[in-house]
Amino acid sequence: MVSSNVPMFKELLLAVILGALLGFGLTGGFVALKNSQKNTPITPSATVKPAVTTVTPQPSENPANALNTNNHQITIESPQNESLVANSQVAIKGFTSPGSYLIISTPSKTYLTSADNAGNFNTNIDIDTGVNQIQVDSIDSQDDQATAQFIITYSTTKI
Amino acid sequence: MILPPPTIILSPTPTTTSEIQKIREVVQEKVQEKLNQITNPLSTNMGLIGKVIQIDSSQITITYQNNPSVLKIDSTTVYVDQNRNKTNLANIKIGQDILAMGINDSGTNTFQTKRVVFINLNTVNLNRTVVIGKIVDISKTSPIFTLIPSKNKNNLYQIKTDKNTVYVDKNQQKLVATDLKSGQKIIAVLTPDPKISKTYTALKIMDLDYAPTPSPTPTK
Repeated sequence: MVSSNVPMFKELLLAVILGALLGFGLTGGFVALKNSQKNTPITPSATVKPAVTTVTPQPSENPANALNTNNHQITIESPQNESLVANSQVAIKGFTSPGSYLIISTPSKTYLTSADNAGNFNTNIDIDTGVNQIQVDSIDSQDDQATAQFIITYSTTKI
Repeated sequence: MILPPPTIILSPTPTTTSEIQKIREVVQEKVQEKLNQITNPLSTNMGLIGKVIQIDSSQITITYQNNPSVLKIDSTTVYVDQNRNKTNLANIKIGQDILAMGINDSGTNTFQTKRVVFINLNTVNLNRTVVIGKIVDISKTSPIFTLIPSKNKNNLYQIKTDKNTVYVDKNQQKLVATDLKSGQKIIAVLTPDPKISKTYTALKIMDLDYAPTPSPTPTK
């Protein structure tokens, strides 16, 4: 009885070992295949969208990315402060932050406009006879404000 | 007697190539000078305002926002009082507000006054306040609302509106007073109320959050 069971036990043991080897072999092969696919470079096709790079703002280290919007400014290029003009219509030209709202106040009118994508603006306004104090307020996308004031005198008297 | 044919001797012309080049350069310089004078004129017409702080026979000194200006005057300078009547230098007193119209020469840094007009500087100051913020409370009984500015939330604005207040949306389309709602973000152009402190009158309001109410669709 004992002698007849021994060969069966050997066969069973052999089958288990072979099965285990086959299993390990297949798993190893599958993992190797996956790794080789990962290392293969992929040429992007025309429809592949470029990766979006997210930049985390670091205000204290990189001023260019800083969310500090106190740098919002406005510059009036023309007319010059204290200009004397002989025409009631004046072009206000200047620059500020791109897309900012602009509020131009004269003694009798208020104009609402906005700067273009480059931050430039050029708006014709009507002024009153005599001394006009003009105020130009700029409000950027962060709601920061900058203000410029200047004087224009409108007179048709020959100088 | 037969005369020999006259010998023609060619003498060098006074305008050699180098001289032509010199003339060219001088002409170019002069043209550039004239162009600069046209594009960046040294003399510009200006109107200076300020309070008189010093007067003498050849000049008046004024100051505006702590910036003094010296105005050169002469016998051709014209003086006009606040009633638009002609007057003279003797009638200008220290402390008088004036508008001086004349020619500013940036080359010599002088202002030659052609006309002096008496004015009141208090009427010149624009006194506008522009604020962006959110409406937090609208009175139902009077035309007044409260605004919290975006940047200084502790500084509340009491804003009155009147028949002259202009309302627009961000596309400059006209709105009416009832379009303003609590919670909306606006830009308000204000002038301070001379009688009540921290209260302003709105000249213009741009409602940045205004959205037209959709009209009801007809039911079958």
